[in-house]
Amino acid sequence: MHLGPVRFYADLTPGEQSATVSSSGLGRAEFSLDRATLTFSWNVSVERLTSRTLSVSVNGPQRPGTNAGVQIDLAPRGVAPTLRGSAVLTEAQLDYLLAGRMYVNVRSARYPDGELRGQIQRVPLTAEQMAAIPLPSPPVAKKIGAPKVAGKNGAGGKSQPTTTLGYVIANWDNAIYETRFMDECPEGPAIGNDELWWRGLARADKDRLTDKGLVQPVDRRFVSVFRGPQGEDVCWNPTLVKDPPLRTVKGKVAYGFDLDGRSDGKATPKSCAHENFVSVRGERGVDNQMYRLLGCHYGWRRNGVLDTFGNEERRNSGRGVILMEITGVTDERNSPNVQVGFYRALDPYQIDSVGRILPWASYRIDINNGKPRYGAVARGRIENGVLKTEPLDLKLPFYSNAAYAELDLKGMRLELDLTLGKDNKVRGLVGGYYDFDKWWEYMLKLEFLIATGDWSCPALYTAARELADGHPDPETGECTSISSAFRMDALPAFVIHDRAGSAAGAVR
Amino acid sequence: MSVLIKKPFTRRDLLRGSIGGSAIAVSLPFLDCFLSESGEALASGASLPVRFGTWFWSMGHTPGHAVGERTDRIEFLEECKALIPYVEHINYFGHFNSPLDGRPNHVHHTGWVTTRTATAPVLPGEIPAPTLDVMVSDAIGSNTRFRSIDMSCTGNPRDSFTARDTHTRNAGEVSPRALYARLFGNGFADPTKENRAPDPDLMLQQSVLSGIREQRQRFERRIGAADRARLDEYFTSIRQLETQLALQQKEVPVTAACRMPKSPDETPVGLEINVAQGNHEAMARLLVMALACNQTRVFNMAFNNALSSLRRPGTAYTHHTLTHEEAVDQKFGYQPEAFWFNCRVMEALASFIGTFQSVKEGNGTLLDNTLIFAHAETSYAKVHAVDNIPVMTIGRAGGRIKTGKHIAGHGDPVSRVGLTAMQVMGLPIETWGTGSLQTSKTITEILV
Amino acid sequence: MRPTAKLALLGMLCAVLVTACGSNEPQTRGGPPTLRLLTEAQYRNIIRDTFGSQVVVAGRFDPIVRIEGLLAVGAGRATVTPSGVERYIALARSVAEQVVAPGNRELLIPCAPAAPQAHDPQCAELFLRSAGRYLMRRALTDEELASYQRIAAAAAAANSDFHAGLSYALQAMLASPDFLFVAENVVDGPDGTPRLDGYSRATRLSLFLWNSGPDEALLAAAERGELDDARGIRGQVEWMMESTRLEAGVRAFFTDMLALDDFQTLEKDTNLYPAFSLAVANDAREQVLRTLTDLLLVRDGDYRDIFTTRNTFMTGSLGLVYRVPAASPSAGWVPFEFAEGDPRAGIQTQLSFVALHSHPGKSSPTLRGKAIRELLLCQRVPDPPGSVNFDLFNDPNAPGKTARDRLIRHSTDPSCSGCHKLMDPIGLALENFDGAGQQRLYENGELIDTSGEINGMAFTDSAGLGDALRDDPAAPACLVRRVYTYAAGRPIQRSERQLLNHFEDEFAGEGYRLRELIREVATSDALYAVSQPRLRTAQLGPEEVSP
Repeated sequence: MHLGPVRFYADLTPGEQSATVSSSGLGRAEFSLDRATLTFSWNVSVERLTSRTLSVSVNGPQRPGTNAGVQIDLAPRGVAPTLRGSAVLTEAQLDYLLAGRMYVNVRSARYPDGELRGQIQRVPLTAEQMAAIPLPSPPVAKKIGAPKVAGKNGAGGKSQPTTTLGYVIANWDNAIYETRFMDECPEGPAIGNDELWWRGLARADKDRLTDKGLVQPVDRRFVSVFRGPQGEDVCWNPTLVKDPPLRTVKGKVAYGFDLDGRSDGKATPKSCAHENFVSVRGERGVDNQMYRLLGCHYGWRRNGVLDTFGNEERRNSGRGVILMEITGVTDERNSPNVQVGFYRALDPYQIDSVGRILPWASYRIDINNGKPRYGAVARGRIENGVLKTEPLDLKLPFYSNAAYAELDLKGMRLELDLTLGKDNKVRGLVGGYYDFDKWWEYMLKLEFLIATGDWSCPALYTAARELADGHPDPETGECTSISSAFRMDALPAFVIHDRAGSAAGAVR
Repeated sequence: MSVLIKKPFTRRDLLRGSIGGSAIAVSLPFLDCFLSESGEALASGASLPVRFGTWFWSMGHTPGHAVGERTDRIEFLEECKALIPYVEHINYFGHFNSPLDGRPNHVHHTGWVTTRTATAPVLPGEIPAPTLDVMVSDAIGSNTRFRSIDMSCTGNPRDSFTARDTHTRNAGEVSPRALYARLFGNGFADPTKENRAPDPDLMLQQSVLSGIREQRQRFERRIGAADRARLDEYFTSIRQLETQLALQQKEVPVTAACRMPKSPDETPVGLEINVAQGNHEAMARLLVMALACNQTRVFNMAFNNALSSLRRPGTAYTHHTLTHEEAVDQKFGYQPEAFWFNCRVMEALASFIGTFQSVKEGNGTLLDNTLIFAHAETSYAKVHAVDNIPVMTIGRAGGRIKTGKHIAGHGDPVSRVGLTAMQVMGLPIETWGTGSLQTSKTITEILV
Repeated sequence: MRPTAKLALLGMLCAVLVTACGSNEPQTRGGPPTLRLLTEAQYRNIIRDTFGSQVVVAGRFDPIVRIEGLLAVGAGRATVTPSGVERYIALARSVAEQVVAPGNRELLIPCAPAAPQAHDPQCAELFLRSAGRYLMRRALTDEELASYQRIAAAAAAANSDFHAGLSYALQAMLASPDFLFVAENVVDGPDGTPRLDGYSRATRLSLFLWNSGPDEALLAAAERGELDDARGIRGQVEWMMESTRLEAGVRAFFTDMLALDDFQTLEKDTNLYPAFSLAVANDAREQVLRTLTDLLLVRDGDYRDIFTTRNTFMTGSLGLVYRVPAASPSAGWVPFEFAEGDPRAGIQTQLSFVALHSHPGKSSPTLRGKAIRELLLCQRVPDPPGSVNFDLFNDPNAPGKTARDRLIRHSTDPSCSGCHKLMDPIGLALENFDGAGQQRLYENGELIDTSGEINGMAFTDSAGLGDALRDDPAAPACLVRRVYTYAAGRPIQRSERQLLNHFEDEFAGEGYRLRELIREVATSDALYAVSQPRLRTAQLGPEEVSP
């Protein structure tokens, strides 16, 4: 790839050690990672240690102020003031490296746990390098003729017998586009609350609070958010401290939809100026500021657990079961005029013995005083087996990670491939403008996961305010919603409208 | 009953029915007479009992890959390699046949019936005579709390191969936990505990049982002869239970290894190979402790059912369907998946033997004082062959038999093996079986 | 409550129409009196009927061998193994202790002892006679009572507790052969022919119609001699059939006939069929019973419609497997009707057939065909010969994507086709149901062909198969045979062949309604006929062995 090797560096100082170290030693490590072979080469120099060097290694995975085990011995043939060498990384080590969780540790006779340490950071990609990343090519314009009305049910023009397709939503993730070497985040991953808290501590406090690096971050989360100037919770009061600016996505490719109808990113009466993305299919004008915000956070990426845990927890709790019902289907491959209803289910998921959600279960709609509690209906059409809906403002009773979020999406649109996979799933993409206040309210509920997800409230909030691009406030002009996209999958289900047994849902 | 022996003699003498010229009818137990001079004994001073049991598996062996043909020793091949460490405890009987005298070969049924009853069944599902373990337990099982302990690893109590006749089949215990409750729950007087006061409840239980027995005459007056035979077993068991209750009030002689085991966890039962193996191991551990604590002397373990429905999770085929439907792999010369199952079965047998060996008894182990009669219901499952069904004895039967031998049957009836086993256990039986399966030829090569 | 007026009317009608009431029933010599071991269900039912459902029967029962397709007949050959006796003793103890426990004793023991720590013969007698009556299904003799009193007295003395004494006596009852075995008593009839005594008739009836012991009314009727003639029997039968217990009896019958006990050991691979759980298995068993009782009892429908009915019942678990909406996904049974033209018509398409008669990981046309032949048409399929050559069967070069392809050898190879042509065409029609009973159109990417022919009737799918089976005279004939055998508790005798034809004609004449068939059999003379003379006491001594 003409992007060249991925480069990293680490500045090695005594202050970086978890425990207090008194030394005037110094070091510098430079790394180069070959993209094709995962060969990781190093050039390390160390001087002025207090005592004989015992080892020089790359350790990880680590959190700020904690210690971790050795991953790579940088001096396999013995220590020397300058060390050169290489090793092939495993996938796991690559992950940790990109997530910023590896550090160089220099052990000495006087400080056998470590005298010098430095977090391995990415050498930012240059603008030229970013520009060199190839983009997906635009799709060839397909000739989509008038959709055939004549399905298996007869000639067009007359009123067709229609069927209903029911689904229950299984997994719902933020649609994060990732490249293998995280090039969309040229400066490296976003810095989380834990690290910012750690860096703000006095040396004596560091020792005390971490027991020389032995206490894990997840146990510090109850104190680490209280880093306001007078001990305030900085998630509830995100403007009280000024964190370094959030590392946002700088890549050009994203999942999502063109929500504002423009690809130049200029402001409109209905939107604020922002950069657009190119979709994975090469379509231009994709608006997904949420991805820009979240995409460099480890917790929301593939190996992070926020969405994974969220889906698992929802599955096991039986809360937040959302149903989709497509009515007016004349032909499962092509139907010009369908309605897609979104409902909250009363019944929990039916799970098999291994923990998977079973398809073809029946779910009653949550009806309150004769009306479904959540019951937005979008118009749409099915083309070549893919359902596409018209924009609709709706709220979804979303539940994830032990918290309800009123997923307030304006201009929501859905693209769902109705071809049933081998796992009995249909897969789709949901896009829309996520109401900022509703979103932030949900983020506050997730505060307990701040160490697991590794974000920082002040940085995220500040960036979100800047990047919000939808529904400008008529008075202040500030945008009050954030363009977003979600990937979801669903299983066939029967949507039961009332207790009397008049059930909808195709009897296949 | 004890027999006063004034001069040394051999077992062969006794079996020939004469000692010093006079015929002797011996009834059990005569264990005292048959022990070696080293005088291995129970903790209480009474002699070590010899135990008898059967181990059943189905789908036989893969021909050419299980046991070698040489008879100077037992050559365990690939499929049986798990048994190699125990070869010195085993006798293998090859090329013993089941002549059917024109009776049909009821697949997966006739083979085990001929081996265990020495009679070929006429009708499907028929068991025309008592299985050899029932005959042994009739002889030696009345002095222990249980006549026999029967276990099935498939989760289905119907999968048992011990019966008095077609309608009197002993159902197997299928769950380790249930087996534990039966063996070591209520009614188990922990013999290692001191000072057991006589239990008044036991006497009352006995009175209940004798009350039932009193009704026998009156009840039988109303029914026909055939039905009375059915009730025989019932009333015999009632009397048996009375005797056992009486025994429970006396001290039970146990070996030093007797310990009350811990109750096993509740486990699923079923035909998935891992589940069957797990239950097999758990029940075997309980069994050997029951033997050490002298709760029974006879046992029957069925590892899989006659139609081996064992399966691997996520696969559509069972062991049995593989033996028929899987193609023989040209490179290996056998059906690979079926072979895989057969290997697991032999591993289970090896684990069973190992469990017996792990219990110390006297100067040796429980295995040394046991005779396990292990066999299948077919030799080559693919064609339901009933000739050359693999049969083994495992254990030294208290020193009464030689081991490590490969005995060639040359087409003799398989009943010879069962006959010999019963004689080793001290049954006064000279002839066994019907038709071409009838035999009185003991396999003397394994006798001491 | 007995509708005596109704009975009187019936009696009159029958007296008037005496020629029409059972007069063209062929004479039979009957069969030998049976000695049947109580089945597990009967044991539980009798305990429940005597002591109520708060007494829990927790234990395992030895399996009974099926004879002539029924456990009810196998019970007549079953005996009790030593481990079985052990279990009965333990069960007896458990039940007895529950009965006398405080909380239960107030309800179940009709009196209080004079002194709680001593034996009270009067109170004991009251209890023993009343419990014994229902357990033994007849009145206790004085000799028996004395025996139980002795046990109770000894135990009460040993424990200084009256109720403990009762507990031991009750244990003895519950482990006695009089309870565990249903013995039939043959006495001399007025004309010297052997006949079953009143108690035996009562028990035969109550086991048939209710799968339990006779209740007080029936016992009293037996004692009054009412069961000794056809009229009396008819009256009792009418009343018994009005009882809600009839449904339990019909369920027990179909559970036996359709071998639904096999559900207990049914296993399905959880990877291949994740939707099939224990809940599904239990519901599937219940589903077919509900379908049948609804069709045959509630709607009083034509028996042959079992092959074509689209009316059934669903729960949430079943909805998952059938892929139909369940109106109440989390709770309970809801009636459900398949749409017209849906191939899922008839009980042969329900899980209780297609899932029960399949392998854990795949379907089996042969097992399903065999099940339909043997269970619903009473046609025995011979066992496979030992010497089957399976090499032909598994040709690695043959495509064999669907079961029909794989089983082609069954129909072409002469050593196979004789038996397989009986089974495979039926089973192949059901191949749209996989091993767990879920509908599918394709197997290994190939469209499944479910066409076939039976008795000259061609069909294209499982609904068509149902139509063909509906027209097969073997189906109602099979039911008749099974019902009669079940009621008699023994195999059919040679002399009863004409009788079966007679019942079949009556059945057809009444529109194939099960209620009518049950009534016909229960009120027949044949059901109570016995062929063996009474045994004289002098013949048998305690140790005598009959030739």
